[in-house]
Amino acid sequence: MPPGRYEYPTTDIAVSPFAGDVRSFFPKPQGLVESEWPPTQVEYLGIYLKEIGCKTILVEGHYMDRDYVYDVALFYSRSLRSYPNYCQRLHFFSQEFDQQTWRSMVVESASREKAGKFLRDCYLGFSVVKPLPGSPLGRTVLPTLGPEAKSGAKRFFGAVRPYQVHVAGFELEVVGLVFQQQDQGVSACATTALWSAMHNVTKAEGLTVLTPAEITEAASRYALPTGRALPSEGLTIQQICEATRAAGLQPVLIPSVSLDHDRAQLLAYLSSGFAPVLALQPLSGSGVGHAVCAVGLKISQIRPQSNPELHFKDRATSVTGIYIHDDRLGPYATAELVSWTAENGKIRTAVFIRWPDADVPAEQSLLQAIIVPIPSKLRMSLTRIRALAHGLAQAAAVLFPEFTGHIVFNCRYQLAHDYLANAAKFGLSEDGSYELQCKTVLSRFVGLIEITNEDEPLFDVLLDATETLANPSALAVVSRNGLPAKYHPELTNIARQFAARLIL
Amino acid sequence: MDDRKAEAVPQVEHDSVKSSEERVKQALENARQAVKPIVKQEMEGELVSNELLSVRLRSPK
Repeated sequence: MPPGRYEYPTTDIAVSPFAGDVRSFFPKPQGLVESEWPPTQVEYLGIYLKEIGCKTILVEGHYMDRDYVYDVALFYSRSLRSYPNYCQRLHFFSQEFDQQTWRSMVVESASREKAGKFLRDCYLGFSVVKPLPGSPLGRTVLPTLGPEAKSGAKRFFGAVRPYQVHVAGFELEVVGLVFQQQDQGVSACATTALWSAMHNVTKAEGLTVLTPAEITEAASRYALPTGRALPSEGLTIQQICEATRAAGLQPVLIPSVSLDHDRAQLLAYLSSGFAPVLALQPLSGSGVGHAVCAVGLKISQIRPQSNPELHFKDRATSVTGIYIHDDRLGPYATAELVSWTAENGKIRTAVFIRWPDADVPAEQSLLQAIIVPIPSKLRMSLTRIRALAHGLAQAAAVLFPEFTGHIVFNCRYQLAHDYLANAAKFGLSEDGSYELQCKTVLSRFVGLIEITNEDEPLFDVLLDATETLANPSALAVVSRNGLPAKYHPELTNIARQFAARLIL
Repeated sequence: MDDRKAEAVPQVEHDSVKSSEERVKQALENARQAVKPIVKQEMEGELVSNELLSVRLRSPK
């Protein structure tokens, strides 16, 4: 726009059929493009949209994106080139409709409600297209893959949330976790992974979600081992922790120990609704570390106990893979978790990342650490909860002999009100149900140990998650449907040993 | 009514409760000992080194 002219931009909403890829929405920029075009993320988006059954794309010509506006304010506004401060937004639908039908849905007041329902029912999510030549794929929220993988394994996405979307006065919704391509101007892979990871928990905690630019700034405030903050030279794990604290959350930093340990951490945090950032070291290439955000789990059979002295099983052994947001690839990329013998002979956890339609892994990396942004008052570590759970499961196998060999334990965190909301299904007596819901004081998040007979719940132990030691912090021992009444005396004594309230 | 008999019943119940409590206590303690190596391994693995904190994550896009 020439100086002195201050018109508002014009816009329209255009309908386009989805023909199998989205390359046409990301035109190749003029001049020398240093990397491949279209970017891998754009190709991945096309493949993923095909997988989830996209038929129609609605293009919003002028869209103000909060995350991008911050990027512009912090970085791009001071460039020689005039970067626009607005984006385009693509909306994806699983039904076919054309421009004329869209117009009718918008203008015909008599059928507006019906049109809204039609759009809501077939809405698949959105992608923001940033006017940046090198990294056009902005904030993207798409639904997860279905509940069952082709192999028969179960998929579980614990760190997703609903996003409300408004277009032409229609309110639509997509359940997923936000993703975007890394933009080296303001964010490297670690920034983007942390941004995705914090999106669910900050919303649940009533905190403001930091934009990628704000994360980079917060990470660089007190420590700059990489020389300069912007353009982003990547983050260290320490800086990821710093940025997490700046967002009002606390970082739990867990070094990768073994496949069993890592699986247990991933299962517990993801099933508690917290998305972990994974620090990876590629097995080949430059040796530069990479960060991704874990969103979901691939679950198969629980493995039998390998130690003949122990008579219980660990639910975490059922985790065979994870679904990750990899900013070099796309959302919900599949990754296998496997044991790997490193050069020094140590057994490590390896992560094999795959494309949705490929059998060969796109990249193989070693897991170095798991960083989980969690609410500040969640103080009890998962490892401490598991320490208690291991012993409890072993004791249960001895005390409840008919279940020996079938006792399974699982640990996670849960909001107390979510736990209580399900109490009616626990098979408690009226007194027990009242005692649990009205007379038991619970912390906002409880540390939850679930002891089951394979998949049938036997009893739960609720721990005060605001405490630092698991053992003296048991709030209640709660009987569940699968525990026969003949074992109530044993459960009573378990509660007594834990100094916890007994709920039968 | 035989007074000695009347007193004996609660005593048996008391002993049974006591022995059940002891049995659970013992089972929990035995279990704690049995899982100690796993717990120790998981706890020790959580120690964070300076080297880990300094790992830089910056993969090219």
